[in-house]
Amino acid sequence: MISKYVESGTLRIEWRDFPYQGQESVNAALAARAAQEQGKFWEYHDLLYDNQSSGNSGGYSEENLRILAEKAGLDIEQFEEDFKSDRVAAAVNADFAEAQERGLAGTPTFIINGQTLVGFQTLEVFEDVIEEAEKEASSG
Amino acid sequence: MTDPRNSARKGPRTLVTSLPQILLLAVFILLVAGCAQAQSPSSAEKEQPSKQPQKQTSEKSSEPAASESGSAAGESEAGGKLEHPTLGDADAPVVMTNYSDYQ
Repeated sequence: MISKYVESGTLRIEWRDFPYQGQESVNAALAARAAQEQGKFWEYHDLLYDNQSSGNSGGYSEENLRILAEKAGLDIEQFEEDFKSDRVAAAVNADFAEAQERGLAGTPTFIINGQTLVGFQTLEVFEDVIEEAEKEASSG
Repeated sequence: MTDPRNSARKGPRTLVTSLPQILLLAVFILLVAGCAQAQSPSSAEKEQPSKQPQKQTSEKSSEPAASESGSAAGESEAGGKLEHPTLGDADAPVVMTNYSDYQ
């Protein structure tokens, strides 16, 4: 999807944090945004999914998140500082509040030019919605 | 014995030549003092540390712009609010906003 739509200039993906499943969800969101401070959000985002944890079982403990930061090649001292910074917390909190204002009930939720898709989707579903949205955008 | 012509000549000559000298000296002192004040920062300025964190300066220089790269972008802004991470062209006709949790 990225090579087909993003790199061709058709699609832009915007990330929003909606860490509603507990402390480790929040930890992971903060860590990714701390990585963003060093220009490595997407690298860290991919590492989080590659090492996905569930149920607040320790997978996204601060120690494990620091290990992932090392794997991403981040400046660890800076990462730890940003992880606890007000700026990063404010970014995650703002996204969370936005999701709540929209009345979102779960993740992932995708909003594509106003059309909402809730839950995991097949590539075909994304393709249909993106191409339809592109047609509407070019005609309107 | 002092020659009255000499004393008469010396007296006024000393007075006439010293007044312009004093005035020139005063003007010179004022100019020098003024320049020195303009060039040196106040003590408050000297003691005040830079308000711009170094980290943010370096971020800005290494940060790719979303509209330029068309790939991974939307990273951090220097100062203020941290922007949403984005991928793709800022002018793309289709925008997908993804609300997610990593767990």
